[in-house]
Amino acid sequence: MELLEVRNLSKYYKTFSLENISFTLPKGYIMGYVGQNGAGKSTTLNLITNICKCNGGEIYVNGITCMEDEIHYKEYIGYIGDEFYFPDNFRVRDIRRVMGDFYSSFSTEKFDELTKRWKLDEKLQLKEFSRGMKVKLMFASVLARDTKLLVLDEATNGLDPVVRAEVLKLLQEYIADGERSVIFSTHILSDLEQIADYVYFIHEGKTVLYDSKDDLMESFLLVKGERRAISARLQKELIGIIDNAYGFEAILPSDKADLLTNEFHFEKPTIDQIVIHYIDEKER
Amino acid sequence: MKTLYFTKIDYIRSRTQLYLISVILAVVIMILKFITDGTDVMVFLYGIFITIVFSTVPFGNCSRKDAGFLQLLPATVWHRVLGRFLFGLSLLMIGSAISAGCMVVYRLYVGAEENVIVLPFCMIILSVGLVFITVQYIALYLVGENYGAQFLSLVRMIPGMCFFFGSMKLLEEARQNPESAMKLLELISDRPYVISLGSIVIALAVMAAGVVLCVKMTEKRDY
Repeated sequence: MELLEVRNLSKYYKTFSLENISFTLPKGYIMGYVGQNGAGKSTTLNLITNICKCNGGEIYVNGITCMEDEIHYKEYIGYIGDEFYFPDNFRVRDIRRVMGDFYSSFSTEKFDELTKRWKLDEKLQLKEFSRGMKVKLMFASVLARDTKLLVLDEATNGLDPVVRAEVLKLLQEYIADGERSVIFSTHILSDLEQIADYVYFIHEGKTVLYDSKDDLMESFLLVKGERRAISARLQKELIGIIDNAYGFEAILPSDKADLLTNEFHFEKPTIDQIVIHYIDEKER
Repeated sequence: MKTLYFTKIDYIRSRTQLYLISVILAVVIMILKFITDGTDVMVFLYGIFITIVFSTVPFGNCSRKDAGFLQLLPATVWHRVLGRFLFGLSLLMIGSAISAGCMVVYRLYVGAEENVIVLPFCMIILSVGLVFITVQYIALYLVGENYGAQFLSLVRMIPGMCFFFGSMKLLEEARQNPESAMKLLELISDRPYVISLGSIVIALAVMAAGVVLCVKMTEKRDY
């Protein structure tokens, strides 16, 4: 069953538009939402959380739209952004009170357990928290509720490797019961490779790639070799040819592998490499 | 209930400023002691002026990210806007109570006499304060909560100052033209509670209209 369904989502700004974004995310899976700065990642996630209003299309979370039932729709979603969104003059106890007031599923015990485990000081104002502490507090406020969908907008940016690893572990624990899902945008594609089941790649507001991570990595080859060895047919099929000190590097759809001669080296690309070469191709 | 929770959030965010109301009023009483022609109504006026200024504090703390936090909470735009207006209304009530207390302290301190017309007069001041808060909130919602912080310093000071200095000017006029002032006072003293309660009802109606207007302005807005 689909937990998140996005149909023909559009949003128009003066200098940017998001056009016809569609995807589904089944229960128990993690989707990585990737693209350059300004590609439309945060816009999409803001539309899902209803922080922004769409100009077209529909979003279903656990079978309902925000228009149908705004309160339950928002109860299902847990959001953690790149920016810390709690007011700076709040303390941990204020967050506990506000969350307890608004969310029917908020567990004070669970929240206290997480804040104690992460040593989040009750007495400090939140403006005195470090970036890592702020991210942990956002996680504590979300994980203390019975959410269905976790939306993370570059939440792991600026975290040290230890905290980042801890966050990734949390995400895997979060979906472990097969009833909940995560959609997250990040520039750290190694994180994505570690935990994502699906990858959605967006560029300038339009869909570039959308597939399961394993299928996506199987669908391409990373090709290396010398420029002079590229035939005209191969040139047409190569995506994002980047010259380097040893020749060139590009990606090639796996079903075109017969175009490669033994003059080339090829290997399975990482998500990072697929994204870099696609962006290079689109920027030309 | 969610409306009241939004009001509570605004109180948590403004708690420092709330403590200041009493402190500032205490200073005002001290200053008025040295002004020979000061009146107890001036203490009340000043209290309402400070409250009008502080009623915009939640907009000042409302950066883009904070506005996003409020948007994420499971509630409707009606809950959010009504909660904010209830904050303004309840703050004005608290401000009035503190100011009334300070008036009594001032009377004891300076030895001023009690005047029967003071209560209805204060209620009229209160209703004018409500209208000023409504106008401020409409202006800040119109500009957008995201940009409220920049616009705030202007909106925060101008209406409050117009209210305070306008009222002071009226008091001054009344002193200079006692005949016309007497006519007005007679009008009020003939039906003191009809006029003062009427002004409160009108102010509340203006505030209700302000809530509807602000909901309509913000329901399609991005954060």
